[in-house]
Formats: sequence, C-alpha cells, structure tokens
Amino acid sequence: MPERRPRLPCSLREAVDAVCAPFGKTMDLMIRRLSLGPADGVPAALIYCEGLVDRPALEQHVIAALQRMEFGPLTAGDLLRVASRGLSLRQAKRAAGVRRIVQAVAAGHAVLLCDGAGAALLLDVAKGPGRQVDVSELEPVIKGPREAFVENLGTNIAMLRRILSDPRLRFESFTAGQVTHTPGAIAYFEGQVDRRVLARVRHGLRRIRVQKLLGSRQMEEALTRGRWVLLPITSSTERPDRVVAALLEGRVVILIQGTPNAIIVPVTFWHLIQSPEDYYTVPQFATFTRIMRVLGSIAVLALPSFYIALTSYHLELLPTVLALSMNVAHAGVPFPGLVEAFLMELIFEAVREAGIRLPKPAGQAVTIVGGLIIGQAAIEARLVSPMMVIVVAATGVASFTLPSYPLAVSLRTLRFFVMLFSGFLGLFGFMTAMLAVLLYVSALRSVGRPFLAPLAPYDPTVSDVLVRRPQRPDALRRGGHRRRR
Amino acid sequence: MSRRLGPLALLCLTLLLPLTGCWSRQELGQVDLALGLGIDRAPQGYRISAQVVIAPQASGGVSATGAGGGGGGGGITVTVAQTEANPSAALHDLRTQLPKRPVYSHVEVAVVGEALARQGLAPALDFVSRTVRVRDDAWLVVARGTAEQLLRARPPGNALSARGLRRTLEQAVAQSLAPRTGSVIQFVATLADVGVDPVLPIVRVGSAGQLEVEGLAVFRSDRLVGELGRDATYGYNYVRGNASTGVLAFGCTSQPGDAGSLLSVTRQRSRVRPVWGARTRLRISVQMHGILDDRSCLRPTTGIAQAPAQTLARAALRRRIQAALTTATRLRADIFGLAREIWRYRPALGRGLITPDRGYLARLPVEVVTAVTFDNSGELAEPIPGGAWP
Repeated sequence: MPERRPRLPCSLREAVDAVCAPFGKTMDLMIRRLSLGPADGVPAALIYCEGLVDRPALEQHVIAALQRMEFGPLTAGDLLRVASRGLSLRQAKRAAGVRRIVQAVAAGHAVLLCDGAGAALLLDVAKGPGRQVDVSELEPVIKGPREAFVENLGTNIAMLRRILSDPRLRFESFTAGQVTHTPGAIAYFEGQVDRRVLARVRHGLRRIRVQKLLGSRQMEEALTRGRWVLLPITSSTERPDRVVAALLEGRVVILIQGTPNAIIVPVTFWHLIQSPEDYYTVPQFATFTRIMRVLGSIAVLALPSFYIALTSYHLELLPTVLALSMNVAHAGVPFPGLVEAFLMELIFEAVREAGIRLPKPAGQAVTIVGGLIIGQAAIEARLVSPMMVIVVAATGVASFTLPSYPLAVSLRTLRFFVMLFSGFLGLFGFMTAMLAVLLYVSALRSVGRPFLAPLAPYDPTVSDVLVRRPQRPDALRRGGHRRRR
Repeated sequence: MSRRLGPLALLCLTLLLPLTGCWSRQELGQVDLALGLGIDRAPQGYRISAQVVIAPQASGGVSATGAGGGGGGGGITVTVAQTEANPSAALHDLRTQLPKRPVYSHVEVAVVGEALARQGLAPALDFVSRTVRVRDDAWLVVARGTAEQLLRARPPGNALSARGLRRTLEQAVAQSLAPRTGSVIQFVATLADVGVDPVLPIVRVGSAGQLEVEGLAVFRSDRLVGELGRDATYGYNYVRGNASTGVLAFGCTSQPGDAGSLLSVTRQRSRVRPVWGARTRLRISVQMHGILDDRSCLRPTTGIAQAPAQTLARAALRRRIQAALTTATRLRADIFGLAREIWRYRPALGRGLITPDRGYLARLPVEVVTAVTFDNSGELAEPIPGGAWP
C-alpha cells in the first residue's frame, strides 16, 4: 500500500514543527512570527533559509506588505488566499503537503504558515548566491561574443532568450536528483528540432535515478545510458552563442541549475571540431582551421604510435638522413620506444593536469617550467631522446587545437591504446588499433544519430562540415540547409 | 552477453600482445645503420665490406679495420670487412666487429668489385636483394678495383663515402654520365628483360680521394664484358632518354682549338624503332631541345649562323651515338635493346635474333637520326665586344 503523504497540521505550532523537523537544528533556518489580520489577528510564521532568500524583497514585498494589508474578519484559509493576491511577487503558491513545503524552503522559498489554515503559502523570494555573467574562460575566442553561462538557470535561460528572441524557442522544465531536486530545462527550437531526438532526451531524463545531480557530467552519463563511451557523444559548452547555433541546427540543449554549462545533443565529430569562432572569421580561414583541427585530432591519436612503430620496427621507412641523426640522438637511451613514449606522455599529462589544478599564475608557470625543464633534463639524463620530446610536444600542441576539451581528453586516452599496439606489433598493430578506433567511432551514436554523420553515413544535403561556406542570408528561412535528417 | 564478452576479448587481446611481433623489433638506438655495402671476389670466397655509422656514445670497442671519420648526423663512420667462403657468413661475421647490430635497410649504394662483375653478378644480386634486403632505390655500381677500396675512400668534404658516392652518381645523372636506371631493382629488371643488356656506372677513387664516374660498365647478361668511354657514355644516355637534364657540347667550327659551345638540354625525346621495307633497318632517332649556354658560336662577327650551328650540334650528337653503337657492337652487348624492339613488332623474327653471343648486332643495319633545336639563349644581355673566348 502506498504511504500516505503527510499533510500540514492546522495548528501553527505543529505546522512549524513539521516543517522545521527535517532540517534538524540548522542555524540558517529562520522562523519569523507574525500576526495577520485585525486586532491580535491570526498567528502566522514565515520560515525561510537565511542566505537563499532575497532579504530586501522579503522585508519589502512580503513582511511589510502583509502588515499593511487590510484583511478584515476572515478565516485562516482565506487569509492565505488574500495574502497571495496582495503580494507583489513572481510566484506565491499554496501547498499543503509537508514534503513539498520542506523542499520549497530548501530551494530558497519563504513559507508563510497561518494558524488553522492547514496549508502554506510558498513565496518565491529566492536569490541564492551567484556570480555575474563573465567572460568565457574555457572556450575563448578572438572575435565574437565573450559572455559565458553562470550557475543560475534563470540567468542562463534569459541569456538564450535575449540572443534568440523568437517565440519558437521553447524551454521545458524538469527536476532531477532524489536528494538535490535540481531544476533544469530542456531547450529546443520548434520547427527545427528533430522530434525523435527530443523524445529520446525526454525519455533519458525521465530515467535518471540519481540521488544527487551535481553537475552536467552526470546528466551526460545518464544520456549515454551508463555505457562506457570512449568519445564524448554530448557536447558541453559555456557559450550561449554556441548553444543558440546548436538550437538553430535543430539540436536539443539541456540546462541545469548550478552548472555553468549547457549540454548539447546530439553531437557529431564534426560538430566537436567546430568552434563558434568559425562563424566570426572569414570562411577560408575557418575552413583552414577546421582542417588543422582534423589533422590535430589525427596527430593526437596517431603521432606517438606512428613514431614508435617506425623507430622500433620499420627503420627502413625513415629517410636516411633523418634515421642517421635520430640514431645518434637515440644512442644511450636505455628504454625501448614504447616505454620512452609512455614515460614522456605520462609526464606531459601530469604537467598538464597540474597546470589546470593550480591557481592560474602558478599553473602557467608549472606548465612552462615543467615542460621545459623536465624535457631538457630528460634529454640530458638520456632518459628519452630529443625526437621523442618533439613528438610528445607536437602531440600536446595538436590536442590543444581541438575546441572540445572532452574530445581532446578522449583522444589523448585512446592514444595510449594505439601506442600499446604499435609498441608490440609495429605498423601492423598501429593499423589494427587505428582500424579498431575507426570502427568504433563509425558505430558510435549520439542520441540515435551516427557520430560521423553527415560524412558516414554520407548526407550530401549537409554542406557545413569541414568547409565553412559563406552563409546565405536566407539559410534559416529555407528550413536550414544544415538541418539533420 | 556483451558485458562479459567485451572485457574477456580485451583481456585476450592484451595477453596476446606480448606474445606477438616483438621478435622483429629493432630499436633505433640499438642498431648501427649501414650506408654502403661492398662485395668482392676473394681467393677464399667472398669479401663483404660495409660502411656503418656508429653513434658516438657507443662507439668504443670498434674493431674496425677502416679509419673512422665524422659525419652521418654526428656519428662515427667506419668501414668493416670480412672474408668468408659464403657471402651470408661474411655478412653475419661483420656483426662481431661492430658494437651494435648493423641494419642494412638504409644502404644507399651497393658496390661490386670489377673482378666479381667479370665473373657474373647474379649471385651478388641475389645476395643483395634477398639476403641483405637493401632498399629498392639503392644504387648498384661497379668499382674500379675493389668495392672495399671505394667504401674506404674519404671524399673531400664528405666523410661518408657511401653518401658521397650517391651524390656523385646523382651529379653524373644530371650530366648525362650515368643512367637514371642504376638501382639494384632496375638492374635485376633489365636482366630479366628479353633482348637488352644492362649497364652500370664505373666509379673510381681519384688521386685526391674524390670519387669519379669513369663511364659505363657494359654487361652481357650478368657478366661485365667491357666499358663505354666518355663519348660513348653520352651517346648511350642520349639514346636511352637519360639526358633530359644533361648537356651537349659541340664545336662551332672544325678548327683545332675551337672553344665550342654548350647546350643545356631542357627536353629530349628518343626512340628506337624498326623500319620495315626493302631495306629493313633499325632507326634510332633522338630529338633534343635546349638552351645555348654560350652564344659565341652565333656572334655576328666571329661566329656562324644558327642553322649551321644546329647542324654542328646534330653532328656531335650523332657522333656520340655512333660511338656507343660501335662499342656495343664490338662488345657484343645489346645495350640499346635492338633485338627487343624487333621482337616487339615481329616476335618470331626477334626470338630468332636473340642469341647468347649477340651476333645479330654486327648484321643489323642501324640508322641514326638526330635533331637539335636551340630554344633560347642562356645569356641575359648582348655579348661584350671582344668578350668571346679566343
């Protein structure tokens, strides 16, 4: 038999106890006693979490307004109704379930309880701690808008609406997390969106059964149905302009309270190597940089492995002059190419990770100093050959050309798998591993859409993949030539 | 199923990795790269020599019989040699003289001694291409004297004689002194071809240690039977289409002491075709276009007109081709593939012609047709009065 949901008691004392009990003796829970109505009036209480509510709004629009109101001889239940009409707030809802009232208090609402009412008024005066809209740090561009999302969902929605002020832009709210009750929103552009993708996203969000939803990563993992996915099949961005572009391309965007990132689904490999900046620069240069990024992604995956295969198995493929100088440079290095490459790559990853974790000025210093000094010392100690340092550095630089950080991380991880095969089987292993990666990527799907689309499977109607063509003014009106099928 | 099968497959694959492939591993730092390989006939069998670049950090303890030298990207170059009854055994024993295992995949020049070439190159070719497995584009040359002497030479400005030799050969090709088809694989292909005999450059060590291409060694089948002199070498290369970047020197007059003129060839076309008819013959036609480096022939006051100059150039071209033809006939080596050309059009007739002694060369009438066109002058301005060579 289902458990009956507890309702708010009629007695004010009991009601206050019922609402406050789940919080225990937390210091930030405030209870303010009031008296509503004529003469001594009806005893009432305002319960809220200090720090989550907008104090000036609470004082001015709730407490002062309630005290100014002329209630007349009314019952306690009527009092709440009158109060909800008289308050100048965004939202004032009546609720009777204790659980809902408790959640509202935890979410930053103020709750008005009246003696004898058996219900509460949920007053939306929430104003949590938040930061102002700032410059995008993770996805900087040289040209184009610089603002980035913040942690507040409402602010993020407003930013999108401000850029894309079209009635076809839709937001659907949802709540996820059995403990955190994190609010979120699904955004899409009506008419452009692929309904099947939208249905899949809705279905995926309904299936989320997590205790606490603290970030977008959990949401992304929920959309991948908990499978091990080696490449990012969702895209995360902190740039509203990128989200708007995705919306206009018919993608679905998920925004979550507390996360300054939006999740874009579905994504393809080609989407991940595109940058918002491509549309703020001349098409030729954007095309060139896209090609550079594709080459960069191949280099990240293949360069160290190819080097290992050549220097450990297929010396005859090296040009003679290069082989001679590399042979001399390699003399005295005690490790085989595979160990050498693993050593340097792991050091590089450690330096990179340290650079991220440390404060910005220290991080830069660690990255530069670590890279220079460790590389130089490793060469002088004959731990690695200079050519290996060049290969590792070139791979690192290539990974930084990728605008999608998760893609770069995934490729860097996959690189070790290819290196292992090259180290044991030479070019044969290299080709085997690369083929395995290619097969995997070809079979990968992002919310039902092939990851390599529109090139595999080929869709000739989609032109904006590698070549950034000059945009036509009527692109959207015609239904969008970039719309996926 | 896939949840269990996937990790299992990955585990199997990972366990398989250490068991496969590693035995063919040759780490770059663990080997010495050989750049030149020499094969000589010795009284006890074969003498194999190799020019190897040794990384300096590991060069101690080299029991090389040759002098070391710098070069090779900072490495030390040594030439080691070993004599054994069997070339493979000699090659294997070379390893004992080197600190690390030599790798022959970067051999740029394979040199055979003159004596071995006279006996026949087939065993050496088999050894070079199948046992040593040198690169397909490695040059094959005949050494005046022994191959070992050539590899031990120290050309001025280049401690690596193998590299220096390759450079010398490339320059010789540019000067129409060596054929473009000088690699091991092309020599083998020519040997396998019907009705054509191969040639190889002959290289000698000069008095100052410099390497010089003397001419072309002419083979009948795989045996060295003689040489083409300088003029005949030019003639051979003109006919074989090897002169598109070469030169043609000719005299302006028939007077002794004539400084002559030089034509830098820009394009060239040559063909050997049978002409059927009452008097069946082979026609060698060579057309040459080029830039006249020096217009002294054409000076209004001292020189001659363009047409006579072209006639003189044509005659010089013809004379060299004739020299090559005469030498080839004397040596009874069909270096122009005359029999092959007949075989192409009349297979039965061609098959009948091709005999081991190449006796048909003396009987076949050959007609040489030449044409020379001066496309341009290499000079930027009019000649200075009195500036012509005396």
